[in-house]
Amino acid sequence: METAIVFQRHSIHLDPRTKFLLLFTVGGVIFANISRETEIIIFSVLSILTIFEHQYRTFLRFGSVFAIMMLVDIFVAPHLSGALGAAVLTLVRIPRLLIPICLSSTLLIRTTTVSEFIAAFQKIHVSEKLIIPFSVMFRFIPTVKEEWCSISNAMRFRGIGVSALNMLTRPMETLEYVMVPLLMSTATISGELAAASLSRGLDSDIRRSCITQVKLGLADYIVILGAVVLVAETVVR
Amino acid sequence: MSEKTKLKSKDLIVAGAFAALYVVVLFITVGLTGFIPVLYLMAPLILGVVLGSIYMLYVTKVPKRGAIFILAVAVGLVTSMGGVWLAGVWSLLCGLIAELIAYAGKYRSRKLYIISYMVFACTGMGPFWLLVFAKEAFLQACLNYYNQDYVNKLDALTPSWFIFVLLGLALIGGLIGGLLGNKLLKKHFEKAGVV
Amino acid sequence: MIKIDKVSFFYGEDAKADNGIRDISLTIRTGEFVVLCGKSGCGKTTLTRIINGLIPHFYEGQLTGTVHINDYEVTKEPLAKTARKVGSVFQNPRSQFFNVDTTGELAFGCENIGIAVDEIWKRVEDATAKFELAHLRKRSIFELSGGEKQRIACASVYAVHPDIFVLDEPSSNLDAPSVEKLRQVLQKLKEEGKTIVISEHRLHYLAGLADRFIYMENGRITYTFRAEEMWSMKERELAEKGLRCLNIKNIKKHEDGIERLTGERLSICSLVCKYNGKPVLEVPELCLHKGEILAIIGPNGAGKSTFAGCLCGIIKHRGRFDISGKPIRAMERLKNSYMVMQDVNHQLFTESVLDEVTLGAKDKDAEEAKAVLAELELENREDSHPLALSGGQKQRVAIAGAMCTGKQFLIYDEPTSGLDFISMRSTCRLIRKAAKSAFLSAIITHDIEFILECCTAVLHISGGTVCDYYPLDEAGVNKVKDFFIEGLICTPAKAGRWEQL
Repeated sequence: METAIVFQRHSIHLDPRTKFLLLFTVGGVIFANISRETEIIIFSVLSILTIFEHQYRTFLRFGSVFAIMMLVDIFVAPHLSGALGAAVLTLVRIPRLLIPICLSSTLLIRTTTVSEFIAAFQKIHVSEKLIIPFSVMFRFIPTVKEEWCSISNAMRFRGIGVSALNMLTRPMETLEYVMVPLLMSTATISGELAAASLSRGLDSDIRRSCITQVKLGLADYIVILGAVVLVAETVVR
Repeated sequence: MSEKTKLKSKDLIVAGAFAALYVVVLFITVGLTGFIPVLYLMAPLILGVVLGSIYMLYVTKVPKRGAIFILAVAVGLVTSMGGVWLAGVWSLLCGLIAELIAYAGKYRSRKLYIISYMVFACTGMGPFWLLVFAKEAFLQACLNYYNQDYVNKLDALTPSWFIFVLLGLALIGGLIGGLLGNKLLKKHFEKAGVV
Repeated sequence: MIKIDKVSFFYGEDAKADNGIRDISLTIRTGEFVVLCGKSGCGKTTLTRIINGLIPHFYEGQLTGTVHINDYEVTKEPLAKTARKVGSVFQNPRSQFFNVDTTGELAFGCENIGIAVDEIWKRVEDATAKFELAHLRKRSIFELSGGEKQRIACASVYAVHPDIFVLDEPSSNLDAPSVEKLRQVLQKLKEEGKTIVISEHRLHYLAGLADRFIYMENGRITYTFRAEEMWSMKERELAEKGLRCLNIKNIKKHEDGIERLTGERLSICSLVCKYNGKPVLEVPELCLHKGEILAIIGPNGAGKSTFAGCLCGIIKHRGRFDISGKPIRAMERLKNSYMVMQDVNHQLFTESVLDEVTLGAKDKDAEEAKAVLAELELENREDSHPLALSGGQKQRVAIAGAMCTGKQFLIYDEPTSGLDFISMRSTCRLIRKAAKSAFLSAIITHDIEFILECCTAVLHISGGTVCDYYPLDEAGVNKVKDFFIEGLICTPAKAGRWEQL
């Protein structure tokens, strides 16, 4: 499992709402035919925020992939032509656009605690009926990953693993073998999780408190301003 | 009736778990199909088939008002992260109609659930609305990454009526996925006592 | 004081179902430590749910009778209110956390009932100090071991300051040192005068803590023992009642051990396995006998699962495996291996038991499959849906699958966690039966009773390497017992060559 250490007290810790905004802004502009320079600026800003949140490994991983793709694009691709050139461009450009989106969603997921998430969205009066499912969703994505790993191992022992061969020769059967245990364990674990949470007072009518202070600070406003500028610039152009 | 079909905290937690599963599988499937252009255009169909059993088990486990809409919000958020806010709105619209169909079946009718999933499966083609509303910009953007030849081909391959083909694919995918989900329910989950 | 008065409960709508509890009357004094025991499915867990209010507010069914905590009626009041009085810890550490970070989890209960932020921090500090969890603060729950998760669960319940603690088989996924830590936690709770109700199979670690034992059968309370009565109970009586051992020292080795074959051997050379670039397992040299039933023991995170994964070729590694000089590659081993997982639900794919056991077999020989099923007492279950079976039966189906497909390397991942004595014994019989036609059986386990009942040798893994390997002869039995009683730390010998003659 990846390390997902959550830091709370340090120089800059963005509000979950800001991180959401950041994610949507990045997603919104990245496909809008922006220049290579803008792409680098967006990525650099995200990297700085990632470093401030002490997610060094995340930064290194995304940063190195991004840098390689960028360097190949700038220095190698212009010298290639024909089918090879097109192939290289496809490989280094399209997936590269996804990197800022992945980085900002990783930033959101890794550095937001469930408690902060609930508090932030309660503040802007989002309904409980959405807050609870979404906070569970956060927590459950790594669980799905864990379950998936052990199910796929189990399938390999039976010779029905999720391989290209099996997916092409018997797609429906493979789909069933994947889905049955995956759905079984989701149903069981979610039931147990619900029992545990309710027995610890999740259902209470009393207004929830939150151990970390959630409010928009200077850093949040700067990031929000930056996002607005970015969107405005993209729209005007 | 109204008390029984009201979402309780327990249901909200189950909803979150299934939304997580739905979204993860959605991402993996898109990731697998995304790199091959032809397969990419088939994505609405493939997604419909793959996600059907998750939807069917979910709605059978939480036969309550609003459950489908919550899932639609989750899918909307995730698909609009790719920058197509239109996809988000589209998901909510599909979710709402799917919810109404399930409501018409009083959250009991399997047939109407399958039909509601056909509509819900259309969420899978949300990002493709760009082909209608912003085709020029889309092709322009493609020009940046592919060469002119490829873009011309893509242009020829996707006239604006093509969106109806995609819609059709999504509906067919939804039908297959819904039927498959229903089959798995009968074959496995009812016997296992999950629902 | 908890007062349960003539309570009956059945899950679902069928009042004749045999899955509930009937006619339970029980009074538990404030500050008392009560253990609920009995065979699997006897109603222990249901009774804990009655006390923490999950029945009838979460699990629906037919309930009669009343449950009071002092003057407070649990069945009538909302669950959120009961949460302040009764704290619950559950069996499965994977599914009881709402948060992703440990600090958030510790505060979760307090946040829910709206306690002021300063007060929550004070309580969280207090709970972490008391349960020695400072090093686990601000961690992701996905990187904790089962034992650490259970301690966080106890501490986070403690932070709400309930008077009553209800624990449902908290030790079933824990290794020996974690069980000891859990014992210390319970000790502290008892010293503070909390009322504790615990449903449990493992009893030995409750010595000196428990005041009273409630024995249940088919949903009824059939015996009540005071602590002295319980601890002086004869082994025979324990076995009859399906109870686990009370004292590790008294466990006897199963007599008719499998003949140790002196023929072929599997030798493993310079095995190295890396995770994220760091070596997590290094085994310089190890020779294993054919037909061995090997218990793999050691603390959590020491590399037991990694070793098992390398053995059956599912984890990437470097190193040489060969049988009598003939190398056998990872792909080949994977084809010939089978792992019975801790959560058997992960490995049941089809709609009938017969399909399940022949899945993946090259020539599906139904007759042979039926013979195996008969041997495992599953002959009437051929057409049943595997997921509809009981936990023990599911496990048997999984083992039958391995036998039918003629797998040579059988790996079991904690097959007896949460099993009562009788089920544990029948799992032993199965494993022995399956071992006869296999080259090697290896069992990752924390269950000493099971080891002495079933295994022929012990492989002790610690700190990412083999630190001991011995047969279960008289000396070996004492050695393994000592490890479980005292939690002895075994220092790895890096360049060691492990082989038995």
